[in-house]
Amino acid sequence: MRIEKCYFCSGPVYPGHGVMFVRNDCKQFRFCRSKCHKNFKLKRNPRKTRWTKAFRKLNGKEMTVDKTLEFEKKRNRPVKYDRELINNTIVAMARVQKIKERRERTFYKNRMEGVKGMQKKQKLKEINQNLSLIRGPSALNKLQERIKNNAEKIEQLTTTKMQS
Amino acid sequence: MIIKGSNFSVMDNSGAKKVQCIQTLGGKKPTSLLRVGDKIVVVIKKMERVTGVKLKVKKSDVCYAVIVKSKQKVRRQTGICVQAAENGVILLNKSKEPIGTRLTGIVFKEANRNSLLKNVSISKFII
Repeated sequence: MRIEKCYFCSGPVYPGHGVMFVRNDCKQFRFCRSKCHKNFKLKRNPRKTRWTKAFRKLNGKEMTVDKTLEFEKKRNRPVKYDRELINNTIVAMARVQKIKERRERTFYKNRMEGVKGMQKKQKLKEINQNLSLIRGPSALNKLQERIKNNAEKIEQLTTTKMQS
Repeated sequence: MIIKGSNFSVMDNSGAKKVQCIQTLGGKKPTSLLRVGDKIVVVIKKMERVTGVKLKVKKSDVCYAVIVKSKQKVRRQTGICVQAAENGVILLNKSKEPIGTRLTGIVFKEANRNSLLKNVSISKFII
């Protein structure tokens, strides 16, 4: 008994879950749930379906090159039972998981760099747009300085992004 | 859903291609649902085009068969549900032994009760 990978979403397939479909040329497809099985029957490509792991890895949304990922690989060579080895692996598994999570966090941080500035810029632009529709012309005169400030900020944000 | 009257494709080298179930065996009613491993009586509807080889069966022959794969999910004790793309059988002779000597398609493990397929060269197709 082993935990298999789902063909569509590449999530884990635990024993007692999902379906195995056998094609006429003997190829076996495992699915973790009916959602994945249905999507397969609809002939959808997992690389083009946004919620699958294949899509996320292809489009740089998740860590792909890392040594911690190599521990998860399927090994077909059977190992002779060794009590010490198993104890060590159980300890190592927890340690590897911790390291992996830490690296994923840093990856996410790097990926999301500059997003906050972009969001701020968009909001400032929206504020400056069509202000005359909301406020009267006399009230706008008072706000003139503020609008100018906003425009400067937008420019600043674009230049900083260009430099980085 | 497999019942009397269902059509099957043949998974061995006997020469038949498509068969139809005309009788259920083993105390099963004609309307009762059949599973992988059940034995039935079939009539051969369509043959493969083979030249120069004398085949053991011909079109419109009636013979025994055993169901080897199904579109319906088969639940195993290991916790896996297995499902094939089509329903399939293997032809048997009067003493209920396989007519063919070689498999040409997938066979589920459940069909191999009482080592039915011991004289058929399999390995690759058994799943």
